[in-house]
Amino acid sequence: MIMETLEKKIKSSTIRTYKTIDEVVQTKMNLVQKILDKLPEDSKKKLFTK
Amino acid sequence: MNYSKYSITPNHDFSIFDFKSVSNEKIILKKVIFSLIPNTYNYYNLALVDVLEDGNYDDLSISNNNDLKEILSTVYQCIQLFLNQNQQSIVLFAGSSASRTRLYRIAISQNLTEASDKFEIKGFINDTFEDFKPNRAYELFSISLKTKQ
Repeated sequence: MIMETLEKKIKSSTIRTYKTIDEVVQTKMNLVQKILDKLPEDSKKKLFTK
Repeated sequence: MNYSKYSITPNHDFSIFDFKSVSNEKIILKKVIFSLIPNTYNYYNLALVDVLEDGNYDDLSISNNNDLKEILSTVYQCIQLFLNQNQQSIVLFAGSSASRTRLYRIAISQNLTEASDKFEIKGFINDTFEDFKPNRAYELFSISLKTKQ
C-alpha cells in the first residue's frame, strides 16, 4: 500500500533530462558526494583511502 | 526479490545494464549504470535512468508502466551481477528524489531477510553508515557482498 502511494507521488514529479550518460553520472555522483561529505573526517579518510 | 524480472543485457565489463520495461501501452529502455566514485578504489555509484525516444536520458521520468516491482527486482539482479563480477566493490545508491529514496528503503525492508543472507546492507543516517534497519529515514544506501567468515 505504501509502495503504491509512493509510486503515485513519483508519478507526479517532473522530468529531468540529460543529453549524455556522463551528465547523468555526474549529477548522481554530486548527490552522493554531497551526502558522503557529511561523514566525519576519519571515516571519510577510510572511505577514500586505498 | 521474488518478483518477475526483465531480461537484462550487460556491457563488456558489467558496468552498464540495459533492460526494457514493457506494458501494453509502451516499451521503455532503461539503463542501470555503475560508476566508480572519484578518489575511492571500490565505491561505485548506481544510477537508474530511462532512455527517452529522442535519445536523451531521464532520471525522474514517470513511466506509468505499472511494473515498479519488476523494475526494482531487475535492478536488484543488476546489483547482484555487478557485485559477483566486482566482489570487493561497494555499491552506493540514493533515489533521485526523496520519494524514490523512501521507496528504495521500503523495498529493501521488505526483502531484507533474503538479501541479508548474501549482502551487507547499510544506510546513511545522522552523518554515518549503520547496518540497515527498517523504518529509518536513510539518505543513502550501501550494498556489498558479505565477507566469508
